[in-house]
Amino acid sequence: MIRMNKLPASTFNHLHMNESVVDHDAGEPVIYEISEDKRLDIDEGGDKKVNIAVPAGQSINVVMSYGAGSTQNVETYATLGKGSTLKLIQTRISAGEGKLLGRLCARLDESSRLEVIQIYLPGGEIYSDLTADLIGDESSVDISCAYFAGEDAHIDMNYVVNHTGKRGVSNISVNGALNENAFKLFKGTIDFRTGSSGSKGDEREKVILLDENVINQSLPVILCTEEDVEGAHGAAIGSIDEDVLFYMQSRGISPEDARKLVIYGMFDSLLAKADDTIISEKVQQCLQQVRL
Amino acid sequence: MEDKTFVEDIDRSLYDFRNEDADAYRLKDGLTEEIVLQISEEKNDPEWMRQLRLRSLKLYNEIAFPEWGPSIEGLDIDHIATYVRKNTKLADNWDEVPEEIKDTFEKLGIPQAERKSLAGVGAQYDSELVYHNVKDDVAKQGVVYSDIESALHGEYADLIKDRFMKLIPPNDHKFAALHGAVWSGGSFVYVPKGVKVDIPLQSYFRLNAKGAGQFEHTLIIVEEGADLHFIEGCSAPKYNVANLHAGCVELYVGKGARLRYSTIENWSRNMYNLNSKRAVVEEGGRIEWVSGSFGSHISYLYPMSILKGDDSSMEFTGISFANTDQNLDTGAKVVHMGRNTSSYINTKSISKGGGVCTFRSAVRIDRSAEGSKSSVSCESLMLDSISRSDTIPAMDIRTNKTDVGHEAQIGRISDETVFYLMSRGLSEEDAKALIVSGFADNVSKELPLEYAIEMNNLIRLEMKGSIG
Repeated sequence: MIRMNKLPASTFNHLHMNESVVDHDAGEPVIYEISEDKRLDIDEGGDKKVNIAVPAGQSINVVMSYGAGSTQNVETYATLGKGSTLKLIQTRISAGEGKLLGRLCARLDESSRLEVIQIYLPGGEIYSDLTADLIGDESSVDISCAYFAGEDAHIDMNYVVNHTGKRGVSNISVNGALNENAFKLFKGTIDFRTGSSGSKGDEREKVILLDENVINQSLPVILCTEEDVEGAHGAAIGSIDEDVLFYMQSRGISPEDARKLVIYGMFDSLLAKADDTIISEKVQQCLQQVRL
Repeated sequence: MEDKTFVEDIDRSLYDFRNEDADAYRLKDGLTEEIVLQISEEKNDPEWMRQLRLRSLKLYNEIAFPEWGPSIEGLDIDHIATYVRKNTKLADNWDEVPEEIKDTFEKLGIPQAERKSLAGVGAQYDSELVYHNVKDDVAKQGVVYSDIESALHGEYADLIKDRFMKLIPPNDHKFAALHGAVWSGGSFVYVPKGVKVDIPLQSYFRLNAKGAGQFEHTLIIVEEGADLHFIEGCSAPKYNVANLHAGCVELYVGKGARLRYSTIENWSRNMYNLNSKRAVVEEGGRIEWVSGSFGSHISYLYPMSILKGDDSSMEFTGISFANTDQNLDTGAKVVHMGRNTSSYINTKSISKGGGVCTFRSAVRIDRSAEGSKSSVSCESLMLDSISRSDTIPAMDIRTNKTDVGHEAQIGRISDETVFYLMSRGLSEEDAKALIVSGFADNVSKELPLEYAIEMNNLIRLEMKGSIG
């Protein structure tokens, strides 16, 4: 058993949102060391440990593509040196039903920047646990996630940003759609710790609910022990706006295509950020096959 | 960060005065079957109530303390007296209330408020009500406002048996079980079908005894099409040992009825306020909560609304102000069960002087609640960097035909605004107090004038010493 996705500040027990217990016996991991641009395709199951070290002043891009075979348990540790930048793209775009246990721990030194892009569709069992420690002054993290979950998909996300350094900036943006019997839990925490003066944090979530059987759980958290900060979070959860659908239909687009367009729109800005042709094509192919 | 000038808090003697309880009847500290049976005997409980107390005691011993929220390590039930009664009988005329107790409530402004702006008043002192009265014209409409013990043996005995601890059963959590075992005092309100009570009823709870608990039970039934505003206030003098408040409020809002439940809580800072409040709302009914939390050392308070009937609605407006030695964990819960139900939760919190404010909420929209809408908004103000402010709002949505929104913000008073007000001649302290009062305006405007003034006075009181 692996305990993960622990909420930094527990809440009502009856909600069952405080942590997740996943059935997996971790073995000896295969280790990857990365310090330059890298594309990592992780198709087979098993335990992996990915160490990413970004030297001071350098910028690197890392793309991690997960397959959907048997259980994949992947721990990623990223260390960002002073003034460095890491763009980390993690995707699981596959119709398979395998289980993904993805953990990312990042430690940011002064003026470093971490950009995380996560894309999940359309099914399986996904646990994503992300912690970014903004240790250095003026470090920043931008976390974007888009997902589409259909059939019996189960997506469980826990993002935690700890502001320790001064004038840090964090943005968390999660957009997704749930269909059929899909379940999604998103927990996002921005923790302004004493000394993180001048920091700003923002967290946004948008969820489109497409079927009466879906379950959506959201828990956006702000913890604060510093006066001189600005924190905000917002969430919007509901079905597709009927006016939007009506407008598209009045332009000759079928209801199913109109829904697909709206969902594709959720991925569009993320794909532009990712700027990766392979990923864009995979997302488009996968969304074309989705039943709505 | 600029240096802070610290100014001592002003005297809180308005609430901190205390009376000697030499002539009080006080059960020994702790929680045992013997004590529970003594309370039951003292109150001449019917047999079902005696059994409920014993069952609750068993549950209390079985249920664990909550694993979340502020620490309650300083609370030792073995050092809490669960029942303290002054040697006086329940009166319906202030002249019959013993001088010392009457003086207490006069200092708190209760008789004056009754004369000016209330339809009825209940005043509880430690474990028992000492005064209860309702205006004749309200009583003539069939409105019942009495102490709950009398009601247990009167015309409404069966109704109370059907409803008592049914919304908050003793197995709900550890302190609901404690309440079930040792409850004493509180009010029963019954508003018949179609009756609209134009001016509010009020209960005031005063805990005077050192190291004691107050466990009043409030049961309100507002029948179809009726309307009521109920206000509760609470305060206590400060002691150097823990006091405990574990009251229970159960509200039944009938079809098309409306109930507004307002609370200004100003317990002393040695109080563990572990209170439970819950309302069930039938078709087209509406519950409105207005909640101001200023006192207590530790608070766990999350009024819950069950929107059972179609088209029922709830609104929660709350403010918390935590100062030194205070950890106020407050918020609201709502469960949407009926179709086209709506909920709106709007809270503000202010943390100062090392105080901790936590906003905690849970919104659940069941699959049956098609067409429902929910909006949660919380704003937090940090007045220094030794305080703490957390927001932990949970949403659990189980239908796609819904619309749920959430917004939260945290920040501090802007220097520009303070500067602007100072340039208009206000002192820095007054400028900040004015900004905080404005921040709390959404709550104060929901209260009757007298209580809005009291709340603003409390804010001014708390703001003293925050010059930065």
